[in-house]
Amino acid sequence: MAQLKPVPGFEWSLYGRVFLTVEQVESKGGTSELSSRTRVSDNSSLLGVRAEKDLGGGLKGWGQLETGFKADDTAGGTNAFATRNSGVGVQGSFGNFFFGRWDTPFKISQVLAVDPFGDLTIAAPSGVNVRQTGFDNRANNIIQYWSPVMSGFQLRLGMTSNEGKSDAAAVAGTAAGANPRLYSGTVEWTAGPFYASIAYEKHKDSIGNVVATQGTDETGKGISAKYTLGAWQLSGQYGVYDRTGTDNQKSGAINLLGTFGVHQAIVSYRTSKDGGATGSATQPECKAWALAYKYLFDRNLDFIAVLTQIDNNSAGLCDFGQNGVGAAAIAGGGDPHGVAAGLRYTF
Amino acid sequence: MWSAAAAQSSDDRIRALESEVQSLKKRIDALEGRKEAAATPPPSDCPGWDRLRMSLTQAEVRGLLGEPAKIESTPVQIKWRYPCGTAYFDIDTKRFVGYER
Repeated sequence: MAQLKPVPGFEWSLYGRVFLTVEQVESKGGTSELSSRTRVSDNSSLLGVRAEKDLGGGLKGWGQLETGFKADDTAGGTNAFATRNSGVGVQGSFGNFFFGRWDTPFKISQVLAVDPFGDLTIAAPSGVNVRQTGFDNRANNIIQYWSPVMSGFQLRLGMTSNEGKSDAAAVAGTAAGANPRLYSGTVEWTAGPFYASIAYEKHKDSIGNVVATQGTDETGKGISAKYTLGAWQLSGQYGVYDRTGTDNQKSGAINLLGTFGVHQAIVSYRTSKDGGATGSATQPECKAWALAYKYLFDRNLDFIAVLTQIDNNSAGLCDFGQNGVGAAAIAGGGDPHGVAAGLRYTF
Repeated sequence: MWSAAAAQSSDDRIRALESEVQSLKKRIDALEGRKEAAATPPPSDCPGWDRLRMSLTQAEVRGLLGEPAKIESTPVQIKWRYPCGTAYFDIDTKRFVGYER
């Protein structure tokens, strides 16, 4: 009988994160207030498997399956499988070519690279910036190419297929006749303590790469930077977002992260202006801030406490970056406010 | 055909085999706790590991431990593999968060 032998050059890893917070949130001042309440919220808990095999000649094949799961409840049937970065690719001296479902290049450089909250918790700035998560995409059916790092520079490009195309007669503003697709690219530069990037993303016939909308396109242009000096890390992001039929939205964030042994502190300020329908009497505008403290128990466990406040004008648009209070609670100028404390276990 | 060169080759092989047998005997002695174990070289004392502290930068860890033998990463952690163990870094801050030896 033939025996199975170990395959040389094959490696795999199982990894995961469980991240829950207990929160007190409310939204006051809008047309439909959200009264103060306690929540237990999941913050992108995940489980993943990644496998790689050396194919010789500097070539490596890889595959990854990553699923999100809600560790707090199953409300809304949200425990779907393989919801996170999953794909297959080949990597070599030419770079990395892969396809599947993955974070876009724009999200990687404008959110993940510079957000000290890692795009997690109610304090994450993506509810104010990147067109209120519209350019914070994990895209389905995306093909990506990442160049090797050359003199500190790296290029990432991505485009989705258009398999959601509608063959119905076009009706502007609806899914009928829409041909939705996404293009995204970024150039990043890293040199010692410095990081900087520029990014561009286009959504054709869709809003937020989610809602197919014939005749509505979106374009995002962003820059981000980060500088580390001793215990301190200063980071920021600025973007301009254009959507058919709206005024350009401008938003930005600045963050300061301090690390002192097992203690971390974060201060963050973010703002967004415009982006409402062209000709509106009042364009949306919001200002927000967040404070956080982290205690690092060890390589697996840390504790985090956050406090955040968002001030919307009467054309309320901004919400928490994760586990938001919802459109109804910010309509008319509702101001989301929350405090949260939780544990993150990573393996 | 027998030749002087062939005899020389056989002698070399016998010496190599004798040397290997001696080496294996030493290892068995060491494993069974006999006195010869003292002759076995002690494992490396892994300098620098006792000076690792939470939140060191990657440059500081490299300064203490040297270049890692291998770098691996998952989407949630970065691992630097050394003969003496593994150093872990946070994926977001790239700072040292712990090790295994």
